[in-house]
This record gives sequence, C-alpha cells and structure tokens, in this order.
Amino acid sequence: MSKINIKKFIFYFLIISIVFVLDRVSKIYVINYFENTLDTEIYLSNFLNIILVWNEGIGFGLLSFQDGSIYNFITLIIILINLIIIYFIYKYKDIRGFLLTLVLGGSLGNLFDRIAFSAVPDFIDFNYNNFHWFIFNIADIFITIGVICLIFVELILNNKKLKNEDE
Amino acid sequence: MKMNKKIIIYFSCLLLLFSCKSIKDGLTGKKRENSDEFLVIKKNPLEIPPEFNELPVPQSEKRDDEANSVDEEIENLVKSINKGEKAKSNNTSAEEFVIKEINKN
Repeated sequence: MSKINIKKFIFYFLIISIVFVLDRVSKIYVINYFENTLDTEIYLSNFLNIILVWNEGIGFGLLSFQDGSIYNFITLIIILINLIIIYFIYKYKDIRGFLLTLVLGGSLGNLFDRIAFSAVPDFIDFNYNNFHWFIFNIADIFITIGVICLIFVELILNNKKLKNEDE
Repeated sequence: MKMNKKIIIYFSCLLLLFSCKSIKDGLTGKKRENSDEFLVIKKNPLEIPPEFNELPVPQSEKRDDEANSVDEEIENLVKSINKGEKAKSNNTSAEEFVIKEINKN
C-alpha cells in the first residue's frame, strides 16, 4: 500500500469513526434520558422535539414485520450492502469515496443497533403545524447527506463526460 | 440509462440503510402481521358440561348417606351369617338323617 493510500485510509477511517461515535453518543444519551425520567418527549422548539421510537424495519418504517427471520434476512442484506460500499470506497479515487464513508459511518451506526437491540432508535422529530416528518436519528442525517451528494456528483460527472464526448 | 440505474441503486441503498419511522407507527408500536392464517389452530367453541345442572350434595348429607350404607352393610352381613347358620343347622339334620338310615339298615 502506497503512502497516499495509507493517508487516505486513515482519513476515511477517522470520518467513519467520528460519524459512528456521534451517532452512538446521541443514541445512548437519549435512551438513558428516557429510561431515567418519566418524560415521553423533550421539547426543544416549535419545530423540533425529541421522541424515542424504535424502528424494527428499514427506512420509513417499511418491512417492520413480527417475523424474526425476515428481520435477520434484511440485516444480512444490509451487511452485504456495507461490504459493497467498502469496496467502492476503495475503488473511487475522487470525492465519491469520501461521500461513501459518510454513508458507511451512518449505516454502521444503524447496523450496530439492529444487532445489539434488534431495533434502531429514532428520536429527532421535525414538525410544523401538527404535521410530523418521519422520526430519524444522527446516522440517518449522514446517510441522507452522503446519498444526495453522491447523486449530485454523479449527475455532474455525467454532464462533464457528455460534454467531453461532444467536443 | 446507466445514470438512472445508479440513482435507483443509491435510492434503494438509502431506503435500506436509512432508519426512520412515522411518529404514529412509532408511538402505537404498529407492526405488520404476516402470520399464515392456515397455520393457526382454531379453538373449539365453549360447551356446557353434561352434569352442569346437577347441584353438588352438601357434606352433612354425604355423611348420612355414608352412615346408612354402613348400617346396610352390617345388616347384610348379619343376614348372611344367619343364613349360614341355618344352612349349617340343615346340614347337621341331614347328616343325622343319613346316620339314622344307616343305623336302621
């Protein structure tokens, strides 16, 4: 492994660790808070509250079945996706590698909860005029940022490629 | 075309790795049931037992019945003993009769 690759590896490892630790600390704090107090929610502002809910499924509460075998199967697929992401982080030499590390850090945070608690704790509740958006966590923020940026980067790269082909 | 494929893959990854839940489902603990209705064993309907209308006998009456039955048993025993004695006495008379007949001969 070359010197640049080692630097890159340490940098990516640090990003993944920071995202993972941030996610874990926030989850542990919220879980402990609701365990030690009788509160059902933490009021922060008119738009933002903290409510703890457990998600046994995937995004948007989908595939939340009572059957444990389906849950294990989904967990296995998520592990597989994480391995594919690691492969692409190694493969991409541009900013996409960095964005994938954000996705991987968040994904590992959620995967840890899926294995440890058999459910993922969600607690950030955005609401406006009694309309509540889906409750999410810190890991979801990093995953969403990573994926949206990845899509934009892909679009930009695709446009550049098309321009070069035209010229 | 390749671009669209990539975006679809990214979105599907987002859906699988993402973990958000609606507040309604989260607070009600809603889960989708996927149990097979044909694997569920139906319980038999409730039935009235055959001796449902019969009232239980009080303990005091039960004891009287027991005492009566004991008396009856004693009476039966005495009767059977008496019968046995009668039969014995009949036997002895028959024996005497036979002996007398032998002696006559």
